[in-house]
Amino acid sequence: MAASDTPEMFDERSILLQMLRYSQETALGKVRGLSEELARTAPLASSPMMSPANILNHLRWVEASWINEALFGGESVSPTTGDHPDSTFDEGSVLALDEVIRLYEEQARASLAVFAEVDLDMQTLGTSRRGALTARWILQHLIEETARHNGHLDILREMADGSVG
Amino acid sequence: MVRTDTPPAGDERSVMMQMLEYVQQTALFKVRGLSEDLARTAPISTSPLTNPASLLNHLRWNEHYWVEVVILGGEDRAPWSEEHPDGELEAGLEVPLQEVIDGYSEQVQLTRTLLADLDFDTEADKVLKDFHPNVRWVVLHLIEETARHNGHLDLLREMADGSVGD
Repeated sequence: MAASDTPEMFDERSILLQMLRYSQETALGKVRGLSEELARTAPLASSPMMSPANILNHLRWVEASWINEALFGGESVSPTTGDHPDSTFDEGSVLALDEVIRLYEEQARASLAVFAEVDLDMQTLGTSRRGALTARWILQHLIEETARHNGHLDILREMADGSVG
Repeated sequence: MVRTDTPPAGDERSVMMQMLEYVQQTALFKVRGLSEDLARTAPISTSPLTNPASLLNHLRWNEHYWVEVVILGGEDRAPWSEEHPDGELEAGLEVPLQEVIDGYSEQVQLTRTLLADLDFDTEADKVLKDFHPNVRWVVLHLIEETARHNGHLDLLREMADGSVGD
């Protein structure tokens, strides 16, 4: 895993893009190399959906939803419904691990491409319980949410095969 | 204090400082209310220092280091040393939980006060091994690192007493 959080330049967009890339690469690094079985193991009895594959799948839909729906005001694309509020997680148990990883890599690249171009002062076009937001808020939120899930993945990975870092 | 990630305005500084406050308040939220015993319980056998009290103490000294030492060039007062590289984690086990919480809360206040006077483009006093950060990068790094430790605290708290939540 060669992810670095050090940008080449220290303006706002450069550091945010590099930190998002670093967080995405960290998530991938925590899931890559797990067996199909360990990637689906949820060691906390009280959270049976909290497996590495499910978290990575959730992170893909988090990015897709925030960009497509919140930022650009598009239709909902995620599998979440009123009956299945956790579909973004448990879809990860149905797909092969390689597929979960490939789809996340694809979304990660697409997200970085959007934030490389978008005006960070752009007002979001979708509706949000938080009211008016800017593109920069969404970018920072994705960094924060991915980092927090990486904390979950740190512990799940350590419980799965003892690897840390 | 209301724990929210919704900023008062959409500019860079407002968004970033609100996000920092949100992750700091979340760390406190995850540790408050634990018994002395549960706050010191490390449920993962391979990481005996990964317990809520030690992690919060780590976040305190980490923030001191980045703001007061790296940005401002002040003295490193953290309880770590070459002989005790995990000294700040160990120190979290040696005092009552409330003292760990108060120490972190005081650092959070100090961080806010010190950052308020600094332009985000200001270069840090210290040049690090690979790069020379500015204030903007340090604040984002604190958000990222605190958020990741909050992920650890999420699972530690859930393993401690079953409580969950963003």
